[in-house]
Amino acid sequence: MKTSSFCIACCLWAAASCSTSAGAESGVARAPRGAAGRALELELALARGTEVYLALDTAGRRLAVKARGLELAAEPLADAVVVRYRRRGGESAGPPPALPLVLEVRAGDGHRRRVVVTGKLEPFPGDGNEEARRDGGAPGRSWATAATGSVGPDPPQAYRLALDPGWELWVGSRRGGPGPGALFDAGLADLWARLRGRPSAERNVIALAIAPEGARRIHHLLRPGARLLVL
Amino acid sequence: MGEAESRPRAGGAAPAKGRAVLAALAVLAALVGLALANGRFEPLPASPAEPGPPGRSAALRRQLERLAPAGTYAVIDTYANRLRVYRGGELLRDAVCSTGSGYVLRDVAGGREWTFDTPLGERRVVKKTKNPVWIKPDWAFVEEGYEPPAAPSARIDDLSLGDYGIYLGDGYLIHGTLFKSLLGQKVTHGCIRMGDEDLEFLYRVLPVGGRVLLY
Repeated sequence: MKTSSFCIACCLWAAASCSTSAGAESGVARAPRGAAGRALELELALARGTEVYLALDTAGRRLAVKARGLELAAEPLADAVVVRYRRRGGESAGPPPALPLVLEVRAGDGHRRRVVVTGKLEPFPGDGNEEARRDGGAPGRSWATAATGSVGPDPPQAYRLALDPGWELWVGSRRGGPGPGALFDAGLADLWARLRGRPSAERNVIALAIAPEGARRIHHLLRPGARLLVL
Repeated sequence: MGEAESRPRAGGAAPAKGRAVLAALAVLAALVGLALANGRFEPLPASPAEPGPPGRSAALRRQLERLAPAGTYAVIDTYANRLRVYRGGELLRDAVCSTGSGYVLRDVAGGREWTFDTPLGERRVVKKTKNPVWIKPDWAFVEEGYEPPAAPSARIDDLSLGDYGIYLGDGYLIHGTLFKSLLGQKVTHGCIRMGDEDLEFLYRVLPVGGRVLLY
């Protein structure tokens, strides 16, 4: 019984892994030549605003930081995969979205901040105590690190972000798109939805494989509200 | 006799427990298998070709190019703490700077909170001054452990901002610093600090109305 169960599980795991990698190997959804005009229209709309936006070239494996149509910086990607979870033999949640498109970051990941909480504040001593103030603030102050010496926590090198509904952005070092763990996660969520008689939730994933320093570098740009143009 | 009776019972419990564990493992394996075999990740289909009117792409490209800054502008990399000055796309200066620490100051008694981020996106130079004076806001006192003073004169600081102030609106400035050893670090309250020579250069070349792109 034990052997047969594990055999079944191993076979299913292998089959599932093959299907994942097959999906990833078949390449990202590339923008055909005709979509270039649409991509320019989308970028023009972004560039008219004053915010920084990111332009992901999935075919060229490149993530550019842009503002006003100007490229400010770019990060090379080891891999860029845009995939959609699809139930076997079942109906999709809707027609598949097509690239190019613009997505917005809805919830960040790893945006931890150092929080300094004050205690009791002392009355300001006035001009007479200028030297005392420069030497480190109020006596007994123990909560605040010196304003000039505080450094925030390092940004993470692997993280996941919620984009517009049905979309996620995964940043890390893994190539080839979502792995067996992600497939299990998506499968379980879909099974649970089926058990409750609900339609399968749409799940599209943009998985970027990027060097750790690159992942840290773009992390602060992916705050909620940030826009990503996917080509 | 009692011992002889108890042995078969103990021997029977172990296989039963083993079978239960095996059954649980089998259920778990089946669940994992079901979840894995339930579906797959597929690449998104490419959008259908849209030929569009002839020359449309070229027109869009021209519109996009017109949005890019002309003349002298500055680009600030808040991750690497670098400020670069360009004129017509040509790099004039690459300087070290300091940007917002990103930390949060919470005044429990006053029920207030401040987040020390350098804003991202495009800003324009709204004003430039020599020997800028800093009117210290409440957080500057709270951070030091003091109650903000009532007297406006107690808020005046004519030392901390250095020789030049380049105002970007909403209280954000590019200015000098007394703490030059901290240049290159994320240590400010949102302003951009620069070294004396770089600041002087920027003050000279970046006009009022000039664009500053922060990312």
